[in-house]
Amino acid sequence: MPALLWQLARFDLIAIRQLINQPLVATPNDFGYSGTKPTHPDLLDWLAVEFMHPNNGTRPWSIKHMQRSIVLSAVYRQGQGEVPAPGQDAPLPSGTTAASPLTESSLQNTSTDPDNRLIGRRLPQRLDAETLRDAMLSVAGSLQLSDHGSPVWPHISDTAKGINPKVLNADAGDGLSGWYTTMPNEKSNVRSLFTIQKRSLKLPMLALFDQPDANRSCARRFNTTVAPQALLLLNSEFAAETANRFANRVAREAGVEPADRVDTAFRTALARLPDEEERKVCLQLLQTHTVRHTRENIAAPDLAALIDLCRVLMNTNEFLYVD
Amino acid sequence: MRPGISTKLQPLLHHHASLPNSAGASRRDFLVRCGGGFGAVALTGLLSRAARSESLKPFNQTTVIDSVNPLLARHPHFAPRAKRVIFLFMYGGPSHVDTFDYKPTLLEQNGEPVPESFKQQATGDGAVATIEHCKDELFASPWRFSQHGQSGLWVSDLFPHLARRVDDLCLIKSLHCDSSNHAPATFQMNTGAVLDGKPSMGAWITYGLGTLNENLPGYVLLFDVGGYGGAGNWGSAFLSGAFQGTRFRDRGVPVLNLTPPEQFAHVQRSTIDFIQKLNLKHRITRPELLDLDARIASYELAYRMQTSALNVGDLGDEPSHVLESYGINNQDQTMASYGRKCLMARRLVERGVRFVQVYNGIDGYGWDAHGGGKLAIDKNHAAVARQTDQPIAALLADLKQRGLLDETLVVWAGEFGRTPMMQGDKGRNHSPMGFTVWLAGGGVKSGFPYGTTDDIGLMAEKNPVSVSQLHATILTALGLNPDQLFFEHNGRPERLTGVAGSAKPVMDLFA
Repeated sequence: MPALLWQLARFDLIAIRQLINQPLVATPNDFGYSGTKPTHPDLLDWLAVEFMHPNNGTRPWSIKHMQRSIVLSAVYRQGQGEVPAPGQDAPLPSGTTAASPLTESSLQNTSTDPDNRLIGRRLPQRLDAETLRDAMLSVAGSLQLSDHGSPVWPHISDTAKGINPKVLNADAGDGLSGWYTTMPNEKSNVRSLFTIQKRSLKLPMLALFDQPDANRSCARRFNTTVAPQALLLLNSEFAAETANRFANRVAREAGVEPADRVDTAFRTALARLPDEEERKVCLQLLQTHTVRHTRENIAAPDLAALIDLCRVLMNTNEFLYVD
Repeated sequence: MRPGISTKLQPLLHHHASLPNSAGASRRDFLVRCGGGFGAVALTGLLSRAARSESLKPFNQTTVIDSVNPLLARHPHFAPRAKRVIFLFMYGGPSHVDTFDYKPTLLEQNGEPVPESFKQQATGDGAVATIEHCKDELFASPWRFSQHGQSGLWVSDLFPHLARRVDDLCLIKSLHCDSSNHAPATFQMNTGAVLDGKPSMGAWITYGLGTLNENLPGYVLLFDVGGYGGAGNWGSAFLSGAFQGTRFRDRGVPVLNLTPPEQFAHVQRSTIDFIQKLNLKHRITRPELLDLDARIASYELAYRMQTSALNVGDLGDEPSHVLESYGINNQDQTMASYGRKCLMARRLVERGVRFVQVYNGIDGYGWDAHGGGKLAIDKNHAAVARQTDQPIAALLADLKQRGLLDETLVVWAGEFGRTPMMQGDKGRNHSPMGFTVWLAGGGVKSGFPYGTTDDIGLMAEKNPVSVSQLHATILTALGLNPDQLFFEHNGRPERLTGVAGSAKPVMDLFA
């Protein structure tokens, strides 16, 4: 058993936590005496053995094989076990199907296993920092999927650089101590995975959404929910630019009909169509904001209102939390 | 580690917002009933009121930090002497023998070799490095010392303004730390450990007590350059990120992303309302996840912060004599900048921010007077003292005049002191074995000296105080029991004062 600990830990971290957001051992850094016991010891054993000796003949130590096994499992495909509000049926947005039917057992799970330690259902999971940035760029249609080879320096404002003024002031010409934004800007819209990780200055967006310190190993990420995150998604240059691009994309793809715009915006950001009620209030928002922008003499007030709607969608809990 | 303790501490793990817990079940049911569908009222007021009644208990082993509002005020363990802290961090290491620790022996033996007895006394890695990197030559302070105030405490001519407030100070003249290098010593002063990776004191305190103003962060930092070791000094490590220090700037908009881009300014409120509308509908079918409530609440705080944080940074509403006293109109820009930070510190604690930390320095040196040119002690210390002396004295006077000093603990400390021996050309090396820090307000004795160093000021001699004891004293002033303020991490109860939990507060310092 001790010989397997390392593999077990890897599994706990890489596969299970990333994909199911529920560790099989609550203390992934500590499999020893003072750590907590695994919730599914047999499963951990099976995963470790499967990692070393895959039973379908793929090559051993293949993380991809393990990830595939997990996402094809029944556990991964569970629904969250939606609980109807008292006196209501569990509402489902039109145009979608429930991830899984509400079963009696999943309802029981919410009371007998509130922390879902036995993974009897799936809880919504917040996008981690990198994925959130990627998702925003993707929705805006500006994500560069090409491989750029060397790491990319995204644009950050001077105010953000001021978090570490040494970066602002340093330009020793050594290509190391300053911040060397990749030009043109669009080129830096790569997946966060390919962005530079500077130890002395994290990308403000990633730092704020709990990207761990790159100086240390991190067994498990913790999500925080703080007001500066909301300020960033509402007010930052990045958020504004993303909303503008997203709206222009929607206008391009959906044409001028407001209802089509609402549908396209929902489908792009949330991968579903709005229900009747949502469509109605979104159309109202477009209308009232168009009026307000007109009153402020803003050019293309209907596009400005669409930008507002796109900004809203990227700030919703539904955008940040995947069911 | 005994398994029994581990189980007992288990509830604390819930403090991380990402771990759902069942503590708020009834509140959630209530919200589901009243917040269903569109047209629901903003529920954040309800949320925070409900949570507030749960939080009015001292922090203890079963405390569940509310994920909706982790900064809600919590009761201390016992009646507090202070409610908030201003930590004036003097990075670089100010020399005690040039400021508060008067050593006539140095004057008498100026230029003579260090007596053997002192060399033999100084043991340990830090001590050896400290001595080896200096000349074998005692170096008297270039400044004259005199006694001030009713207390008659000794202060050098470096601090003419502070000397007039000496009756407010509680000097600890026998502090010692465990490293003679900047980064480890800075980490220790801020986090209790010489290695990076522990929560900072400000994070521990906001974790234990929350904050008194829901419209501002609980832990705010003001600096231009920051201390050695960077963000590890104000991070929250394994505690929730909600407790980490938020940097405010002393010029312009104090926080990043505080103002909406112009294109959104006139629709900001209605946009946030609409986000909340969609979020409320979304959460009905996901009642289990308190994170969703927390996000809804965070948008309301964000909206309020847009005004309240801006307001903190607007020094325009201060009368001109106040600006004058802090040196904000001074031609010396380094003093003006430090003065703005001190004044903002007062404005922040006045508004209920729990922990404010102000770093001196506009360059990477601070008090680090190793000798030669501008780093000779007479040049370097004169410049940094000039920058900080008047603003700090004004801060103490201002706090006192507003009746805030009684409940605000002011801490003045660097990462270490400096050697009584000369280094290079008129410099001094780092000295961790005995140096001076001071406290003021917050229930500590005023005009009071505690502990001594030896005759030349090298080692703490009488009543030595460790950094952990200083931390334990600060927590005690706030009504927190240092042993009971912990977080279970990797199977160990981590504390600001160390896993062993053996550091005791210095009760003699309290009035």
